[in-house]
Amino acid sequence: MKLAREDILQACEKHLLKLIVKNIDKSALKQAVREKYDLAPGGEIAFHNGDIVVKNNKIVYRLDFSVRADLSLLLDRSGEPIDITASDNPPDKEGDLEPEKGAEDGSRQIAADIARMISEINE
Amino acid sequence: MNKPMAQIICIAAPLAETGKTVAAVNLSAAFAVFEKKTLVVDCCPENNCLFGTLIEPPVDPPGLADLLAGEGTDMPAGLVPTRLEHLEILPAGSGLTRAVNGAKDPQEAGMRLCRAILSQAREFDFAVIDTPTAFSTLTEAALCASDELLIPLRVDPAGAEYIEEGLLYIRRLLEKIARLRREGRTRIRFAGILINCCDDRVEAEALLGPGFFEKIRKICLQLCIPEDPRLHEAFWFGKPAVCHDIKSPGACAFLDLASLWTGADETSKAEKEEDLQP
Repeated sequence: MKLAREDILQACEKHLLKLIVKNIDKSALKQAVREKYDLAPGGEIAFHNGDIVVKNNKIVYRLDFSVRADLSLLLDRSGEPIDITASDNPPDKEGDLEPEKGAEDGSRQIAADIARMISEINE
Repeated sequence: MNKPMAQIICIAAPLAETGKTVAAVNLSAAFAVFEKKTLVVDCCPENNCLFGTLIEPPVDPPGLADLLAGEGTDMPAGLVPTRLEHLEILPAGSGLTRAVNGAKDPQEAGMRLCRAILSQAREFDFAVIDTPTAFSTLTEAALCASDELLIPLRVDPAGAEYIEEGLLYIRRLLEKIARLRREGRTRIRFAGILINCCDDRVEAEALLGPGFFEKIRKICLQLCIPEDPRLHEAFWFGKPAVCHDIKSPGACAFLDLASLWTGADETSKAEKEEDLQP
């Protein structure tokens, strides 16, 4: 006997994870990546997968993400690798890996327009 | 001394299923609970306010359409009473859209409609106007007659998917209001966006994302109307929520909403009276 459809439950879990991703502070996450891995993530962080798992007897959310890390490769003049380090020359342009970024910016712009129009109406 | 004009609140949202009619019916009923003489003006040709307020609504009652056609001379007596002593309904009547759009000069018909609403609302403390979804002459007349505009915005998982579309429509609505104000046809002010189907602002923020919510935080009312099955039940039973279950979260939210206009102490007074009931 099933109490709920499996695909529905999975869709609900996916929705929950999407909402959690929406509320992750990405700049704090970039900072954490910088501190833990000595990487300088450039561009946007893109979450692509996730799950609800058990770790140390606690239920936790696992969110898989990719970052574009700006690294500097050091090699000597004979071609021998010297080091790979976090780059201190990140590209000027922010990454375009997040396809929804434009849409989100659009919504924010509309919201800003609405706020301005309302303050004019209520003047 | 002349009685001051009714305060007229227009509920408008140019998207379907945002909860306009439920908001109009329940906000009006909450005013009535606070013993404020209240009129619901149904500008929706479907007459949905009648169905959400009365178990057995009258068939084809006269309404705004008849006022426009000049057949509503005894209109004040034709207002539909409800089970709440202080709440009455001015229905749309039959063929309201045709009466306005079929007129030789629809804009003039809209202005007549606006004057008719103002004249009917005169004897009340509050009037709440429910508007049709599509932006039309009917909505324009309602905006011209009103003092304040309240826009319900559905922020549940389904509604959040269409939030950008909703905001685009709200921007269009505000552009129309700005035009009406420039033409000197309305003095309406913006009361706020009423977050609907959402327990609180934290949930709204979670659903919309903090970056986005930050942009609309200031224009949203502090209180939210929660997703409450009692609200839907009440509507289908032809009752405002305060008549169905006054202690339900939905009814309480509408009492709180009404108290924004009637005074902050009203909700606690109503709750106290409820507690005193045997």
